[in-house]
Amino acid sequence: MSDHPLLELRGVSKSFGSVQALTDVDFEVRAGEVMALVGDNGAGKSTLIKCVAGIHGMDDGQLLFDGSPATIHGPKDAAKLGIEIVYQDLALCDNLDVVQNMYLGREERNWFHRLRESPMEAKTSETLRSLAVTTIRSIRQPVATLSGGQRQSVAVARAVMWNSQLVILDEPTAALGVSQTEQVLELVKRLAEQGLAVVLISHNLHDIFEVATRITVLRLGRDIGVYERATTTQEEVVHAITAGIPTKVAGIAGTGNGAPA
Amino acid sequence: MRERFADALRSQVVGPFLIMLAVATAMALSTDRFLLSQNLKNVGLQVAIVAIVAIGATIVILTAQIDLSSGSLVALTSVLLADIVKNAGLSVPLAALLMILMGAGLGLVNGFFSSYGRIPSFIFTLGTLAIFRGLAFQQTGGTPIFSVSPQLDPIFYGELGGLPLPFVYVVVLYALAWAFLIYTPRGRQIYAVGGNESAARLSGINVNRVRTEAFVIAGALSAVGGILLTARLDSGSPNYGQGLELMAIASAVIGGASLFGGQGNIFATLFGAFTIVIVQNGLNLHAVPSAWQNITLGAIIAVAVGVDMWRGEFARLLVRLWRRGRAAQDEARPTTSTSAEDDVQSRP
Repeated sequence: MSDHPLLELRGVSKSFGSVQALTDVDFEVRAGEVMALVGDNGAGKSTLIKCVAGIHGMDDGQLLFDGSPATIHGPKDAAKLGIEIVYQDLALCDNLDVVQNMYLGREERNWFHRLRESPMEAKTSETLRSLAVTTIRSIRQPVATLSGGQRQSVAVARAVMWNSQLVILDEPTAALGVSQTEQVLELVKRLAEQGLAVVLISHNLHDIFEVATRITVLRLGRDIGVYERATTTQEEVVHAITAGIPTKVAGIAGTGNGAPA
Repeated sequence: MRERFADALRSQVVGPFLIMLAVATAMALSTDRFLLSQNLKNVGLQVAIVAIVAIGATIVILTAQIDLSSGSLVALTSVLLADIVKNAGLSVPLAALLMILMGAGLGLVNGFFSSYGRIPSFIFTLGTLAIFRGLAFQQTGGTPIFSVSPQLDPIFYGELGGLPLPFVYVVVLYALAWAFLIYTPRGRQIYAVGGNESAARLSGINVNRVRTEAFVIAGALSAVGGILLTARLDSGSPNYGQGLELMAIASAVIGGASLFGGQGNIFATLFGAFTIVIVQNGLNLHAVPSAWQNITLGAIIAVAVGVDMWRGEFARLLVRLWRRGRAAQDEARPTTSTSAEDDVQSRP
């Protein structure tokens, strides 16, 4: 794990009309770590991620990627930097097969704009194999016929296929059963082991404590702090989620903000 | 075997092909005149225009939109073509090219307001249905233009190597549409936009642009249909193409295209178009009054949409009946098959 952050957000604010969704939020994630992003409903997790994806513009604040300032105006800009986002439920087209979904919007083509199926099939197989996703019978079967865990695996595999450096997963296990959740969490661990920076948004503290390296807590659009998984407890994180006091405003030390051990 | 049987039932091309075959067989058995070469040629010529407009309808439906204006656009193309060829003296190829560009342009209007403009395409193209038809009447004062040009025949109605030209256009345009949908990134994106709009958008696909392009293609193809119709009758009339949009949409739906988008096959649409035209032709041969022809066509459309909605249940029912038949055969032998498990497998 490197010691400088791959992605760093400084003082991000965002409002929708009179609703202040994010206030002066700092966030960082390093290559090779799983950074969990937690908070109650409406805490601003999704808004923060959409700012990174360029779907929302930031009202205020700075985005640093690999140490240098960057601006992101949409999914394509994010992809260019090597940022891929796996959205909850929205990621795949059921009517298309695995290969078609993996290359959605970025299909390989020749000079005549003809799709090049065989390289796409080869790369799809290779990517799935590198992530040890072995349960999918055929990469030519429609995604509608896959189980929830397999679908999530395809969505994650799609995110890492593009030489991405940062993968953001929005509630990847929310709709999954126990064994399928295990599958996906294994996958998440493997991504970090391969040197990617991973941001994991989740409501499930059990999942987070199983895979996360560090945990960022948001509450009411402010960041409460960053916790080391190794040195914190579920109680402490729950307390931060439900009753945490933003350090920046109150100036209270001791929540561990910005002081990773 | 059971899997394959169920798969075949669900396959997009087989079903429409069998329906077409069944309808054709029924017609051939019920009247001797159906298989006369002159009648078959008639069917082929009638189907050409429906089939070409149905390509556009299918592509638009694949993106989960609908184009109701195609029949009116056929009429508008027809009177304008007749007018600029006969009265303004333009050469037929140039006039035809202008008409196709106009069709594409009006398709652009449909597409732009239905996607970027966020007006539901059902409503917007209902508006342009009336507008295009009105413009067609306005153009001629309501009267048809007869004897347009002898030049039309050799380019759009005559024969090429013994094949009627409309048939050649159908083959060429279907081949192009198929290659476009299956072998190009844009074709695939059309399926993606219809399958899951948000996923397509988040993948960086410009959803509005894809939809607009679908309408542009549909508009251009409606113009081609209008040109062929004008050539066949050597006249332009604002009354042409009444209800053609419904026949085109019905072709796509009988061909298994889902009105929710993302599901459909271009060749299945062709079989759907044949089915509709064969039914119409058969009713004509049996001298069924036109009122009953309309009722029949409407019933076919309603049933086709119903089958689209109930396809899964229908396939399951057939599999179950088939299995029951086999179980009856197997009754003599002892069987260990558990039917509960089979029921779970019958549909993913």
